[in-house]
Amino acid sequence: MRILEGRKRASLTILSIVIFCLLFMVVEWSYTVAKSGEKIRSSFATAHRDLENKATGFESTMTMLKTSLDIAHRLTPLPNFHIPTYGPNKYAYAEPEIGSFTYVGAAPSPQTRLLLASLIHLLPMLKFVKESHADVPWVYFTSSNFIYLYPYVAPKDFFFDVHQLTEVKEFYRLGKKEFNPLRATFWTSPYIDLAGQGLMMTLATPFDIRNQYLGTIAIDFKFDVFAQSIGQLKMQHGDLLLLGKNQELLSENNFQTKSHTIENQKLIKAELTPIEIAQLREPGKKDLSLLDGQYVIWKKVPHLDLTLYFRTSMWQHWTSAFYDLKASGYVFLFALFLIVGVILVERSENARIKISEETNRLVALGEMCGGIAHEINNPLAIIKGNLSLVMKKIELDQEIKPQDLLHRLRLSDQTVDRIKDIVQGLRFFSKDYDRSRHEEFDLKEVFEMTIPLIRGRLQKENIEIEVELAQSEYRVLGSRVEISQVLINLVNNATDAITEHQSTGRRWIRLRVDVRHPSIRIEVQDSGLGISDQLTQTVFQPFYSTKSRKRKDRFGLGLSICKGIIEAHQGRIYYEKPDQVSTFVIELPLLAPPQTVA
Amino acid sequence: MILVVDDEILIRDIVCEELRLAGYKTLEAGSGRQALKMIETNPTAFHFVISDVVMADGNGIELLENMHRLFPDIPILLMSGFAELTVEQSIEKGAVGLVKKPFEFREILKIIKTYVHERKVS
Repeated sequence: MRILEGRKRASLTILSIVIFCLLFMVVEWSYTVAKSGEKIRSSFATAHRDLENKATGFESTMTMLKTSLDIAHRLTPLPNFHIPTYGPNKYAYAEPEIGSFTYVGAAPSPQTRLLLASLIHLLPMLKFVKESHADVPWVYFTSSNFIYLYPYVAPKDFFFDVHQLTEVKEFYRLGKKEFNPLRATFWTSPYIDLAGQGLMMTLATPFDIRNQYLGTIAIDFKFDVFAQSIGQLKMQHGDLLLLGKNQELLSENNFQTKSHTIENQKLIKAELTPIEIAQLREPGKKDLSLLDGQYVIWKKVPHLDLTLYFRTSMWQHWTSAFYDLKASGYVFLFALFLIVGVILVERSENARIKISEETNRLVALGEMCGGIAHEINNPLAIIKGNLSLVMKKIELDQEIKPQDLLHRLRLSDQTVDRIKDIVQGLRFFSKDYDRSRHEEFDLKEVFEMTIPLIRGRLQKENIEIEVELAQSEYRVLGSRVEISQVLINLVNNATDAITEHQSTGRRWIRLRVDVRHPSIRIEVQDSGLGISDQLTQTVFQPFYSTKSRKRKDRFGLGLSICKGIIEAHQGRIYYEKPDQVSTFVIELPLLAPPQTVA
Repeated sequence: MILVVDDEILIRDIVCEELRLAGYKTLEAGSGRQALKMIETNPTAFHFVISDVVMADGNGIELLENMHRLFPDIPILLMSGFAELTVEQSIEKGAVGLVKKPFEFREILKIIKTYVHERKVS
C-alpha cells in the first residue's frame, strides 16, 4: 500500500517484457506455420510423384509383356499337343512346369492352342515380372474361355467362372472394344482379393490379333505397393490419405498398409465405404487453404484414378508449429529470468522499505527519548525530593506539621500520575501492540498521549508548542497509535526544520484541529521557512529528504509512511503555506458523535 | 544567597526547602531570563546559582554562557533530567558541575559548601 510506486514500476516492466515476448512469439509462430506449410506441400508432392512414377513404371512393364506376347504369337507355330479335359463342364488344368491353365469348353480351338503355346513361351518373362516385385501375387492372361496364370495354383484351389471373369471383372470387361476403343493399358479400381491377398489393384491391357479381342494380360498388385508411397512419409502432423474414386479410404500415412489376411476382409470391406471428408475442392485453388475448418491439399493421381488427399485441422496446424518454436523458447527463458529478477529486486526493495519503516519508528522513538527521560526524571526528582525532605525532618527530629506532611505526600502522589501518563503513551510503541487495529476513538486522546512524549524534545530545542482544539470531542475510526506516530513524525520534522534553518525569532509549533464536515482537519504548523512549492509533492515519496545528509538517522521515509498511514484511514495528507506559514494538513473522515442511549 | 532556577515550581520548592534546612537563604526564578535579570539587578547578593538545563523560556545553557561572560565570579551548578550534557562538558562551559535528576540533595550540598565556603573565606 505504501510502496505503490515500486510495485507499479515492477509490474509495468514485467508487462512490457511479456508483451514483447508475445509479439516475438506471434512473429516466429507465423513464420513457423508458413514453413511447416511448405514442408507439407513438399512431402505431398513427393508422395504424388512417387505414386505416378510407380504407375508409369508398371505400365512400361506391361507394354513389354504385351509386345513380347505379340511377337511370340506371331513366331510360334500351331502346336499339336492334346489338352485333356475333365468333368461335366470339361475343365482342363496345366502342370506346374507350364503354369496354371484352365480351359472351359468341349475342345480347344487351334487359336486357343496357339495362344497357349505363345504363353508357355512367355512363361519366363511372366516369372520374371512376378519375382521382381514382392507385391505382385499373380501375372496372367485371361480370354473368354481360358485363363493362364503364374504362379501355379493346384486344381483343387482354383476357382474359375467364365461369366464372373469376362462380364464382372474389370480387368477383362474394360479390355472390350466398347469400353476401351483406344486399346489402352489401364488400372482397375481397388478391390478385395478373393484368394486372401488383401486390397489389390490390377494393371491390365487388351490383347488383340487382327483387330480381334483375344483377352487381357493382367498383373495383380497388392495395394501395399502404393500405400508405401505415403506410409513411409513422415508428415509433421495431419493425415495423408489415398482415396478411391468414391472417396473410399484406401490407405493413410498414420497406419500400416491395409491387412492382407482373409480374416480381415470384412473389415476391409467396411473400410472401403466412403469416408466423411471435407468436400474436395475445385482444382486450381491455392493449396493448403482453409476448407470446412480444415487445411487441405488434394490432387488426382491420373493413371491410378486415385486421389491423394492431405488434411489437418487448423488447430493442429498452428499448435504443431508452436512446438517447433525455437527462438521464442530462448526469449521466454530470458524473459523468465528477467521477471524473476524484477520480482526479486522488488521484494528486496519492499524488505528494505519494511525495515526502514521499523527503523523510522525507532528513530522517532529515539528522538523523543531524551525528551521522555526529562519528562520522567523531573517528576522523579520531585517525588524523591519530597520524600527525602520528609525523611530528613524525621531524622533531624524536627517537628513536621501533619498538613505539611500531607502536602508533600499528595504532591508525590500526583507526580507519580504524571509519570504514569507518559509510560502509557510509550506502551503503544511496544512491539506487542497491535498497531493496525482500527477502532473508534476521540482524537483528543491521541493528543493527550502524544504531547507528553514530544514536549521534552521541544523544550530542549526551545520550541513552544501550542495546541488548539476547537471542540470537546472528535470521533475518528482508526488506529490511535498510527495517528500518534504521524503526529510525532510531523512534529519531529518541524523541530528539525526549525533547528536546522531558523536562526532568529520565536520558535513555535502549532497543532490545530478543526472540523470541516465531513472531515477533521489537523494542521501541524511551524515557525520554520517551510518547503518550496516544487517540492510539495515529492516530499511524500519514499527516500526523499530535505534534511542534511550528515544526519545518520535520516531515511527520508517519514512522510511517505505518514502518507501511507493516512491513506489507510481513508484520509489525505498534504502540504500548504497559507500566509507563508509552513503547514502540513491531515484530513480524516469524521464519525458522528456516539448516540446516547435513551 | 543562592538563586534556584527551574521552570518546574515543585522542583524549585524542594531545592529551596532543602537549602533553607541547610541554613542558606534562597531566591527563585522560573526561567533563565528571569534569573539573569535578578542577578543583573543585584550582582553582589548572589553567591551561588543552581539552574535547570531544559526550560521553556531561556534555558540553562544560555544562562550559563551569559553568567560566564557577565558574572564569572558567581559559581553555577546545573541540574538536568536529560542526557544531553556530560559533567565534563558543563564544566568546560563554565559550570562548577552537573547533577542529574532525580538527584540526592547531598551531592548538591557538597558542591555548594565547597564554593560558598571558599567565597566566605576569601
